[in-house]
Amino acid sequence: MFEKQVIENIKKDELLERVATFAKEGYRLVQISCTRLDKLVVDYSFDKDYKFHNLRFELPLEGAELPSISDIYFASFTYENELHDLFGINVSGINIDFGGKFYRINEERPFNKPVTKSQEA
Amino acid sequence: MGQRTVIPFGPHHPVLPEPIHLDLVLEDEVVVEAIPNIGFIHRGLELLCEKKPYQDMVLVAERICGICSLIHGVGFVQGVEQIMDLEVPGRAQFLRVFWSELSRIQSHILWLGLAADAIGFESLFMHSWRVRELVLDIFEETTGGRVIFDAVKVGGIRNDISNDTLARLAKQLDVIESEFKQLSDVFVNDFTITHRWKDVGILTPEDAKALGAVGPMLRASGIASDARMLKYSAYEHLDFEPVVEHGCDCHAKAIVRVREIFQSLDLMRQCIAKMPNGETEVKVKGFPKGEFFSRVEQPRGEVIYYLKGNGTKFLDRFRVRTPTFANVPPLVKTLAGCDLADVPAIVLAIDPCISCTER
Amino acid sequence: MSDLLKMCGTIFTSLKRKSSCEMYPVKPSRSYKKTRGSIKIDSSKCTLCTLCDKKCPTHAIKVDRAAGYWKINRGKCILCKECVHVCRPGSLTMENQYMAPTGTIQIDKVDVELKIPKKKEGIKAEEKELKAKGKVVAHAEKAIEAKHGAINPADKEAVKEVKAKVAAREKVVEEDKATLKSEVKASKDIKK
Repeated sequence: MFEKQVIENIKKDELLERVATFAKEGYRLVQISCTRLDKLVVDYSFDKDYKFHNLRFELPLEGAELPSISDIYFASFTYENELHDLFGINVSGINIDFGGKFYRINEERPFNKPVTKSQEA
Repeated sequence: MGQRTVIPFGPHHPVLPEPIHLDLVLEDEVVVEAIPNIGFIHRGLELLCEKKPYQDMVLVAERICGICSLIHGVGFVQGVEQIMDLEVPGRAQFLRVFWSELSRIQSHILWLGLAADAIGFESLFMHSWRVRELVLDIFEETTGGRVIFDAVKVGGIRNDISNDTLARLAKQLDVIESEFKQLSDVFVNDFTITHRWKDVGILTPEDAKALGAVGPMLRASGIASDARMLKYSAYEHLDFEPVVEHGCDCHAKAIVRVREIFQSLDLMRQCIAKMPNGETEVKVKGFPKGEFFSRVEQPRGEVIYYLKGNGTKFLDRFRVRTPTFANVPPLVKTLAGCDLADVPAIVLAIDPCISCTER
Repeated sequence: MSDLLKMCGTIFTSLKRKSSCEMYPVKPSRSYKKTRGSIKIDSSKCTLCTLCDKKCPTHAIKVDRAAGYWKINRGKCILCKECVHVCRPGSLTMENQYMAPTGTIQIDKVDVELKIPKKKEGIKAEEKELKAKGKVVAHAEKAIEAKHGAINPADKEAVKEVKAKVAAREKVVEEDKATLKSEVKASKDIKK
């Protein structure tokens, strides 16, 4: 926690290239998370020998699309299915794709409701 | 080529403490594939950060899970303190580590009891939980609660423990150690247990690293990685090394947890010896503005919190990635190729805490 | 054979020691000083300040000053002790025993009298008495005398002079306000 945390802003197109470099250097995928502000901010976090490196880019609220990194990191399927189920981001090419049924919940994309409804709430 | 059948495992199963669903594809009693499914206990706790002030969110964070409740609170509070640049006094840091290690002992003894129950050794389960009661008594005496403690807050801790109580608790730790030593001997050396757990659920070191395993799953495969080595809180003043085993199977995972209990008892004695005197909290003014990734070691592995504040009393985002969530892909990998009768032992070996996974 | 003997130590101690189980709820459960069991109110001390209502994170406590009651929803209370910490008169305490389980969610309502604190009552009575006697000794002066010793009569005179000047100034301001009001009214009438 007292280590230096590097948060790097990249473009969505550079994602696959950067992730492949990290995999070659032996970094471990820590998490993939998404924050909903006036747009969607996606964070890919990596760690090696307790050093923390974070890649960040932005997506629009509706109709967001991402390529999957599950060819490089097998374990990313859980995070990418979660991104689809909770935020409505379309991730293409996941190795184990649950098609929206990973989280057995009744509501569609509960964390990224269309703007009018959340303004009322 | 045998005939394939699909058997549902869970969400209700005598072995599982919490609901998770696995579709097991079997070929003549050998599991070929396992497909996990979660969401039975999803409460959407992360969204509550937009409705509750950040001081009340500590209470919500502690209630994400019943077994690892205190460390969730510590991780959240550390994140907010780093965003707001608060300097927490030394006594509060040491007491947080004292309670965290006690929480780790409680969680590991709970797991050992459940694992023994899963293979049918019920009397060992009862004895483990009887020893766990001694640990819960210490919690009740110092914080007021047995399972949910409400012990930490932003800026410090809520209750103090006097130095006389600490000296008395040090003797109580010796009682717990001697009671647990008899049981640990059974877990490590007993013929029934080794017969059920040896060479079951093997996770090679390369797979463990590639699939992102954390916690005892990783350390039982020979990789020394422990988030406490980040030296957060009072850990920079304490002396310890990650506990590593090389067996890669369920028995190695059990031995890692048994040795971690003894390591935690030692860390608690170090805490009591080095405890500084002074204040237990610092005044908090203003609201958090900024972001931080807070990493803490839970009994099940490394948990990471992402906190983002925007200058108001509500946080923008509170994201928790718990260790069981990261251990689901290794679980899927270890289940491939095992016998149907070994599935409960392998599922329990990751120490599934599904309330944490689904928040 | 040695495997069978491993658990013997534990087995023999278990035979000798008393049961680890408690006879709860037949007998009260073992508790410590800090055990968080349930919230209890002493309505004679409560001043209906509503701080516990504002601080409660789950909104389990409802206080109504007008109707005069303090209500707690036991099902929502998470025993966090925020209300006990914030209660100034000390009417809320944390009991050590848990509440007995019930079939429905328990909502406890306690009627509380809105009372003026005794200290204020005493001061008001004193002031009434002195006013009747024609002497108004400001309570503030008494407090200053108690803390710093007797006030210098010269200072007292100076304060009186300043107070007279302030009163005169305020009178002038009031008269100006009255004339302004009447002028505004007159102009409005003219407009009409």
